[in-house]
Amino acid sequence: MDENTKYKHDRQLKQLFELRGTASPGLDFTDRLMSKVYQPATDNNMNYWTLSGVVSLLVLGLVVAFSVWPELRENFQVIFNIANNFNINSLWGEAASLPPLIWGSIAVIALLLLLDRFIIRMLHSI
Amino acid sequence: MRQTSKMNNRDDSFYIDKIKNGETEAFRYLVDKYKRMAFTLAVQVVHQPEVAEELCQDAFLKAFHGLSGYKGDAAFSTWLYRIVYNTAVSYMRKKRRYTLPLEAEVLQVDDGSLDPMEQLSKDESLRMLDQALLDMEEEDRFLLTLYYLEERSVKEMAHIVEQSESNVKIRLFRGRKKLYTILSSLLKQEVDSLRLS
Repeated sequence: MDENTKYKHDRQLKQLFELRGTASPGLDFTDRLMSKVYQPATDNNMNYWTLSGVVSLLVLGLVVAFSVWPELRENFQVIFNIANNFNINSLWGEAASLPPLIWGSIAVIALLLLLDRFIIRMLHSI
Repeated sequence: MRQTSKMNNRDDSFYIDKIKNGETEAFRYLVDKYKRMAFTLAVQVVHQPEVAEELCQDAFLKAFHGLSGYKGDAAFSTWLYRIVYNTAVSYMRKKRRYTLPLEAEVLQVDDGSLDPMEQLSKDESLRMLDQALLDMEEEDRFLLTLYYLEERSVKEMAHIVEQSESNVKIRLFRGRKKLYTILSSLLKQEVDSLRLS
């Protein structure tokens, strides 16, 4: 195929694409997008996993606090007693019997979940 | 063309600075300016307008939240189309287990003896172009649209699809040849069917 023919074919294809033009998204595209843009930053940054991470850390913090200060357990027991006959000490006995490896794993997972957004952002910015 | 591109770039940076300074509303200008092309490119990859529209929304949102990372090394549109491309291709990869299609055999046509485009009416041409594009890989459709509609340089296209310039050149060359060949073949079929009837 000589250069002229190639150029002609290319020109014809270009004309076709131009004739076809660009497609239009829905009329509300911009408004819909802007409403998402205006959503509070927490909606975008605080996703399910981050929330799970925070909850996991809170639970873990409570467990550590219970193990360090037994009086705290007693105080919580008072609160639970108001509601029902829930015995926090028996529950604590069950939980305390779990091997440290499990608690360590929970702590690592919680930290990873909490930090995932920051890690992704950091990688994205590199 | 180059002058217009520079001017647009300056326009964009003006609005980008505004957004970075907290004027969120300035993003509307960029969305309105690029939504058609972004949507067209996304449609080329996913071939479903409804899905393409949602992917474009995601791509624009990613662009908005990642604007602090945009340093202005490339035109804003190049940066945005790269996000659109990655979003659309990721969607396709998730949608189906991604397997590289076999290299389609390039059809043979009689060069010079047939001048297909000139024999087609406008509607027929567009119908056949759509049909021909359907037979091509989504990445090739994306590149051809950038090449013919936006007149992007190979360097810019390579930046958008994150491939080497030589790879883009080859894909573009093969894509253009294949598209023309498919169109010619479609026209032949049309002419033959008319003759038979």
